[in-house]
Amino acid sequence: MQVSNKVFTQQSIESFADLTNQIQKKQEQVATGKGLVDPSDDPVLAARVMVVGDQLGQTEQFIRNIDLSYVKLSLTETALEQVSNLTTRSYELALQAASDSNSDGRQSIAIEIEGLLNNILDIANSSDSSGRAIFGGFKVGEKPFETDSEGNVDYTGDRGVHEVKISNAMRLQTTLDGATVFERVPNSAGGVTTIFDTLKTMVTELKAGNGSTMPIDDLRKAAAHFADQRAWVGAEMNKADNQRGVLENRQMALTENIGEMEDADLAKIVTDLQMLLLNKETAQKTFARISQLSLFDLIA
Amino acid sequence: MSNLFDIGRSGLQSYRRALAVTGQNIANVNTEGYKRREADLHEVSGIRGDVYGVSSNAGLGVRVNDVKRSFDEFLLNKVRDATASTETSTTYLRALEQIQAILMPGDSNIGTSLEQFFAGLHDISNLPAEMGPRIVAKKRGEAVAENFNEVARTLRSLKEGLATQARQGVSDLNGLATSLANVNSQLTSSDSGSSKSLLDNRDKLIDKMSKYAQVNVTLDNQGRATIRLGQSIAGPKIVEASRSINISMENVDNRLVYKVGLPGQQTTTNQIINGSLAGYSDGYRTVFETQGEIDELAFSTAQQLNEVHHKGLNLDGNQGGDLFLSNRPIVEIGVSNVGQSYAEVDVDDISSIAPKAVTFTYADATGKWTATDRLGTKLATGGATATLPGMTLRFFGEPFDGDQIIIDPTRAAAEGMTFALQRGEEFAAASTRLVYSGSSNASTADLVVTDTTGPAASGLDDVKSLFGNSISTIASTSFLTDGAVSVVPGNIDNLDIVSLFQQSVAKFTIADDSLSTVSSMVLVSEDASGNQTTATFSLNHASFSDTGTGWPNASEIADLLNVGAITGTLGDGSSVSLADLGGQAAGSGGALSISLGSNDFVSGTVTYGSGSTVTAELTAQETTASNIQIFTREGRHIAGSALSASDQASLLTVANGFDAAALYNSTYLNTDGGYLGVGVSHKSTSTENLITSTVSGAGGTFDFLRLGDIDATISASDGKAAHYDTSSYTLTVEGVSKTVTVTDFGKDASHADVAAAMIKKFRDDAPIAALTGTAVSSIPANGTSVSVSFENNQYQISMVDDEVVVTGGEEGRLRAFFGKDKVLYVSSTSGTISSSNISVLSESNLSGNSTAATAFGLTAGGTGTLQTVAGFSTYGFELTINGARISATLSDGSATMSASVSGASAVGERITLTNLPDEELLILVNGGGARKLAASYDTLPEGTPVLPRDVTVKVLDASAGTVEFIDTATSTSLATRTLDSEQVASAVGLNVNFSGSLIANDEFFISANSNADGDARNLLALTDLQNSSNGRGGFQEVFAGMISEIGSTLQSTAATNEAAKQLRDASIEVESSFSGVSLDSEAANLIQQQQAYQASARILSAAREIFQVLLDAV
Repeated sequence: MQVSNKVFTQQSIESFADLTNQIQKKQEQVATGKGLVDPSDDPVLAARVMVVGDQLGQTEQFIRNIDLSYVKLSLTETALEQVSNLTTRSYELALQAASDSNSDGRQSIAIEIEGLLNNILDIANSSDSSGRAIFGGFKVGEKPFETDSEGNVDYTGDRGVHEVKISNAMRLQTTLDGATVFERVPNSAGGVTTIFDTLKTMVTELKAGNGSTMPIDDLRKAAAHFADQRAWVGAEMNKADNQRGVLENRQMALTENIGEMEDADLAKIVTDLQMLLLNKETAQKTFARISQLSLFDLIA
Repeated sequence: MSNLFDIGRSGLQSYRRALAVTGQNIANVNTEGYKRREADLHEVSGIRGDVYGVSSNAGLGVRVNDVKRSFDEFLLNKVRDATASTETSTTYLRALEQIQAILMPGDSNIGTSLEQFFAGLHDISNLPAEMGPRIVAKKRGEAVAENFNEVARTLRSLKEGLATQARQGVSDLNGLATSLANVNSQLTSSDSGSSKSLLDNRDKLIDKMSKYAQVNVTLDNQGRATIRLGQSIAGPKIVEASRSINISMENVDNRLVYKVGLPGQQTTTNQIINGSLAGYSDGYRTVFETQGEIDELAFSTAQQLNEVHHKGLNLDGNQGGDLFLSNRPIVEIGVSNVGQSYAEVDVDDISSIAPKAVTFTYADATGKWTATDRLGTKLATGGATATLPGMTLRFFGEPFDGDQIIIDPTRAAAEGMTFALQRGEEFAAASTRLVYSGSSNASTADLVVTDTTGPAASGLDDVKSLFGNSISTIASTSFLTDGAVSVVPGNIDNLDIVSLFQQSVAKFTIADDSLSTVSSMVLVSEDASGNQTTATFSLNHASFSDTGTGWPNASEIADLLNVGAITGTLGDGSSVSLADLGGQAAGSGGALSISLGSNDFVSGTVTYGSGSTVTAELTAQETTASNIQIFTREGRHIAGSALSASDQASLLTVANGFDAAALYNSTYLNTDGGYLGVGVSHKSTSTENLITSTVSGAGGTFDFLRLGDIDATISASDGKAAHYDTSSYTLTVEGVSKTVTVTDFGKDASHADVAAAMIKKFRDDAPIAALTGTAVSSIPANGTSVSVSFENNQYQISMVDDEVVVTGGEEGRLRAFFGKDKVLYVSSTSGTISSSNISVLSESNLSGNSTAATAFGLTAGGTGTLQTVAGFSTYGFELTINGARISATLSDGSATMSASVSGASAVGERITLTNLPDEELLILVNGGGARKLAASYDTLPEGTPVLPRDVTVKVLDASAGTVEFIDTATSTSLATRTLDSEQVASAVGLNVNFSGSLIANDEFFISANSNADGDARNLLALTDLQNSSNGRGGFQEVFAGMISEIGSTLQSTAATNEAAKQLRDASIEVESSFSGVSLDSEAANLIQQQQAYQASARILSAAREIFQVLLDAV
């Protein structure tokens, strides 16, 4: 079959352009390190990469949530530890006062317990680094405990507890509300009372010299209550730790997964690229040679 | 011999021409559209003999028969078709690449911006009280909106760009068609010599046309081409002989429309199958579809996020607003509609609108519009209106069969999308509700609360539909049975409802054509003792009017009866008016009703024409008014009379509108400000409704109320009801009893008029007090004032503007004037029941009174006289009046006054409720009786916000699981429930679920959240939308799906394009091997033809040599 010179030239030029395009694409893959440059390279994979990328983003967010929650839980834990110590100290003082019939001694113990009460109140009203009340429930903007003119402590916060998501299904409680911690302290009568009332009664009874009616048993129960609250925070932190482990594994798996799907197989691409370059060079040389060839050269 | 010369010469000439053809081919090696030529050599056969010789078989040489043009129609058409289909996919591919680049412009796209936004929301949820994360999230929200805007904008401009390119293509194609028509006309007139290049030109033009659209080519014997669009001769012609027909293009919303035809007769064609124009068309449609998907995504993103955000509370303490704003549903009229119709959309609930375009099609046969979605699934049907989830459509105009109206809720949602929050504080992170257990609860039980839809509407007729919003006898509604009769809807603020007695009514319904000839009416009534009265009224129209037309309207009869112009005759022949019978008439059209104040009708007959009669429909008198009971649907009794246990059981039923768990509770019964602060006034008898009396010790007060709207004699304008005033007021003090009726105080009396009539009744029996002075020399100067005492009151008699004026005490009680004799006369306006004298205050009681008295001709300390009344003995009490109040005081020194009141009215019971709560209240009647009620009410303005109410759930009985729902603010008990085995119950729109064991009196508070800066629960609900679940959320996944779809379309189009190109190249190669110029072949031809030329020259020289030999031989 004879070949028209014009068509031969045109087709040769088109094939060069085609090769150039392919080379460009490979070059882009090498430059970005990604096998998938456009979704059309592999549409199914591209969608999968986006979805997995989204999951990875969420997983990283959950880890971030745990980090921030940890700070809150630690603050609560420290506060509860102090309250626990102060309550235990009150209990010891109460025991001491019970056995010590010396009225002067009781007066000084009363003063010390009064100081402890104020310490506990300060802790109950403590706030985080941004000045947000730790034990105010959702009402973090103001001091949750107020003392009235009679020396009674009232809780003005609410009973909301802050939660964050640490997985799509799991939530982590990061705070305890003030009422749960300080106002719902089990008493010896089987009901609940506030730690402030117990300590205030203690002080009143001590000052009045009534050794027999001091709420010593309530203080013992209060100490146990604060220990329980601490344990709860510990458990929540533990839950956070465990979940962090799970999330980090997941993060690693997802990252690998994306890499496998998206990252370029450099060795293969470079080989392909070299081959394409060679192709192009050969084709161009061949074209030059062929187009020079003409029967006319041979006509003398 | 000459033959050989001729043969040689013909060889030379022929090969010179053949060489010229080859030369032409070589010269045109790069000419576009040039088809290789070939010299067609033929032998010149010498068959001709003459007389000198026989014919030679050797022939006469060679000649160029024709210069052939290498043209193969089949091959050429194959090339053209392949070109067209390559152009389709190439053009479409370019559009798809642009769409892909728009959706995925780089590392930042809609998907990633959504992901970032959700991450921002998570960050707020960590530190909800902090501003930092809120500001970041706001920026990211704006980025989401901007990404949507940008994608939508660029898609739109891509669409416009494709339309512009297509329009340019159409214009190019039209130009080519015109050129081809020119070539055709030249072919008609040309000779065959010049037509070779014309044919080249023709084929070149057709080749070019194929790039724009696939065409069908037919050639006639002159080489003229007829061009049709498409691949067969079925397509529309665009070139025929020397005429070209224009193509035009319109871009409607969802596609490019190509039209063909002579100017003015253009019709739409679907024969643009291949070529770049088809490619643009495909691209345009894909862009449109992508736009739709992006809009849908934008719409549902905004819709779903907004819905959750609305449920939250922002840092300002307000309910969350919209996060994203997008457009509202767009109404579009079908492009091919024949009729004139349009629709309006009312959005009822934007959150439940499905983000899909809906097409309504009108059918003449049914006269209805039917809605279908893209897949043709039927969604709704409607005539004047149709309802779709979240919206109502109203149709207007005159549609034709098959007309369409398209509702697109999502149209332009992406381009119009904005992020609605202005400040970080506006993120509604907190939930609106806080649920917590009382801090002094004995148990550690917890409560989880969810919203329920609340109680379903009772379904009873509400007061607005049953009552005329007027307390009146003629606007009343009667009911057949006891039980629930109506319901007060939530948006009614105040309600005044009365239970009425029923007067006896005779109702005539006279046919229109009989009315004019009505001639008489006979009414038979019976009093309580059974005595009958028959009254015959002559109604001959001519007696009352000289128009001679007869009665035009029963209202005229009624009016004349009421004013007493028509009188009747009793059995004894005496004349009687309707009022004398205690009746009132109402008429309208042919309806005539007559009410009797106290007696009962026995019969009523109207005679008309020549003795025909109409008998009255009678309503019996009912002298017992029914009891009204107002309840909440939970059984809280607000007003009425306490119910017995059996009444409770029979009335508190679901059929009567009560909740199945309703429990009778009379804590708030008739208590003003009791149930949720509702103001309650309950008056259970006629007497209570007319007179309020307070009697204690030696005194008492009596307040009179004239119920003008209810008791007055009145006729309904529809002629179907009338009322005769029978109201009366009786006051009995210390055994003295007086009664006043309308004849005493008048039809239009005020409350004070009734009291005044009453006190006048008492005083009329008693003597009038008078005080007469002595003649004075001159009338006292203005400003002079003397004080007198009367009935324990002080009065000042003063000179004002030269007139004597009495002030103080009871207004109008005393009158005073100077006679012509300059004597001051003072007297009481009516009798004094305590026989009190008018006495001038002494100087010792009032300093200066002596001088003043003298000026008036009186004496300080002086006393007047009493008129003598026979048979009257002074009462032991004094009555005074102030407005509508009469006060009675004992004046005989006794310590305890005996007094009583009684009244008769149309009203038996009246309940007035104010400040009603936003809930349905039930109105029940019981106790039998007339069951005739009238009510007036105030409706709250539309859209009055309903404040969420704080509720306390209190455990009543832990073992039985009974709990009470209490309004926290007012401590009002709203409902009582028994928990099921799962410790769940629902009431007042709340579903409560307890966990843990309960202890009696534990309280759980469900309150509006406030100052809850640390609350992030609503954000947790928002971030739930990051992943899809139950058809909601998962916006990134939707976007990924779109990307994947475009990617695979692109991938497959690229493959199609590759194949099309190969086919085209192969076709070109085949065709060009036939018609193209190959230099190698031409060179070979050149050598061959040159040799032949040289050889022909040798023939000539051989011939010459032979000839020379001959010459030499001669």
